[in-house]
Amino acid sequence: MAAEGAFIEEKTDRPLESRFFPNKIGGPPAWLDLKNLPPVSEILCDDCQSPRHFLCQLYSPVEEKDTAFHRTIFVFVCLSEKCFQLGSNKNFIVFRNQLPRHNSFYPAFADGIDLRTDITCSNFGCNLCCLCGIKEEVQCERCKERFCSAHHENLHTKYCSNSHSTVSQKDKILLREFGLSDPEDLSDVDDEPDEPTHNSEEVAEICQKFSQFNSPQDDAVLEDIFKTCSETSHDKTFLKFKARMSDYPDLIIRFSRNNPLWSSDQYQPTAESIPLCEYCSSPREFEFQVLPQLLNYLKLDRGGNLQPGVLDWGTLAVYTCKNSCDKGPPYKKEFLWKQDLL
Amino acid sequence: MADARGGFRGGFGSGSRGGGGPRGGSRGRGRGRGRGRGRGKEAEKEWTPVTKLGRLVRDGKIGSLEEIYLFSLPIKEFEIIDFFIGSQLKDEVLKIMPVQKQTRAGQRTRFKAFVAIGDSNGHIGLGVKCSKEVATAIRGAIILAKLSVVPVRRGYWGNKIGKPHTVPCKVTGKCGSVQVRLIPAPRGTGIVSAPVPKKLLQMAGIEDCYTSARGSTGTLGNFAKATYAAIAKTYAYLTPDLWKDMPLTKTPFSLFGDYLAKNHRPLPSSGES
Repeated sequence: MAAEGAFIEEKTDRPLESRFFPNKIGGPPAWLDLKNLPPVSEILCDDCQSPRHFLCQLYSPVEEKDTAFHRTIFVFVCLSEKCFQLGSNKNFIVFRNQLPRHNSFYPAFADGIDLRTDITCSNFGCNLCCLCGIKEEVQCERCKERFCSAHHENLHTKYCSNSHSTVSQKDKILLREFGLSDPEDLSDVDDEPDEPTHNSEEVAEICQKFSQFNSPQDDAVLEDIFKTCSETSHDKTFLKFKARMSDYPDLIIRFSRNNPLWSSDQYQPTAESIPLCEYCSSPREFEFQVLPQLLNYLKLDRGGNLQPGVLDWGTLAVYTCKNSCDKGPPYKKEFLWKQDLL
Repeated sequence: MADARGGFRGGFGSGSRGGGGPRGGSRGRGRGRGRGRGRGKEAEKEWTPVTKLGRLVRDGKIGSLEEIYLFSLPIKEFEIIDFFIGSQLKDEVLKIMPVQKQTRAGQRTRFKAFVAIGDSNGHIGLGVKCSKEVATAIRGAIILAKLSVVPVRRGYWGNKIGKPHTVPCKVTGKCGSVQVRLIPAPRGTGIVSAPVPKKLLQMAGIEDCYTSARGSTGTLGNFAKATYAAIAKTYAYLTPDLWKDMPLTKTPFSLFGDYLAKNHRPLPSSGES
């Protein structure tokens, strides 16, 4: 089945800003709807109540739907050690936002959009937390800087008068920023070429050449030893997954509707695990998955407030409303399944 | 196609690629994405791990293979083994068996490769793979063999001179009615055993060993399993030199901030909504 992938890009042609509808990783989110941002309460982690960190966003419009001419999926994650749990997706949250072609933020044609540096949230009356880029809801009394929550405000208060404070604190909250390439086809698995079947002479010759043990007794012993030793049965799904991933060391996103490539035979969801869209009650279907190669680039075990090396996954499968509905708030919650690797 | 979207880029699954304003269009990334399967390419591809253990190993945070065995962490990526002992590992194809399937067009033969891999220094692994081409089967079996590498403990028969060369003590393995006993032997004895287990013991680095079998050894399958069970016990046996209390060390994961202190067997679970 056809699958598309997005590869990591350390340098991008254009800035990773909203008007370019980027696919990106880390840094602040490049919001789509610039005014009706999700409330901070939804981005706070359920368990530790600190704001989740922006992980990645994917621009994935739906051609058949006019109201989804622009459509972006945003993924946030809580990096706290205590909030990480095997087999649970609670530390993640996913938002979907879509806009029709004619909307109040972006022009209907892309000509000259590069120069439109005025297309920002603040120009539409919505200010952002200066540390993490989500909606602001509190303000520092001294310097009037705006933050999303008490958590980020507290980080700032220590250094309030220091002009460098914002920059250094940002490094501790924002993940390393990368762009993602435009979608590229991932070639299907080449099955082994169909060899003409060997005739019996050739077969015998090959077997003779390689075999060190040729008596039937030895054969029996051989088969039994190997059977015993391979009692730790291999995770075939993982082996296939890994074989494919070894061809794409910098592949981050794999997009293939209804066709996830699981990383293991453990922790796969059942049909019941995927909840219906909470706004329109239609079923959700698999849209894309985030691959573990991303963790090599995030380098989370290097200092700062970002927790050392806890975040881990085999793959993150994002399920979105089948109809890409317009019901509910502009930023609609979607479902993410974290498949862990043991 | 670009016109349909007024110059805006297409997204995934849209078929309309590119378009949209001034794009640098850096297609030639020169990074060798290896599209279309890089099987033919012999170039050493840099390993990009997909598991946490793989990442820790590649970043040099794990000192030796033995640290991983100490905590019984599952090794899912064969490159981990390669990283530590790859250069000493020697693989041997023990047998290729033809496996035939009857199809309408005649017989379709696949090849089943039995590969053993060992460094003659305390590590042995076994892998079996079936495939249409012999080379593919062997390659696949080597990977599986690497994934199944286990440590074998060796000891001395008498004086502790030189390197360990035999089993550390008498160990017994049992399977069915067959009981196999591996007994330390003096240097130069060689391995006194049936051909297949003898080969494996040699690849593991055991140079001398007596074996004693009881029960209906005619059932060679059980004999083989019993031998394997005996070898596996070499590290399970608590010899006097291990009596001293050792402080519990932290696992590589908890050392590096992960709260997974121990890997348990995976639990089947349903996700949360």
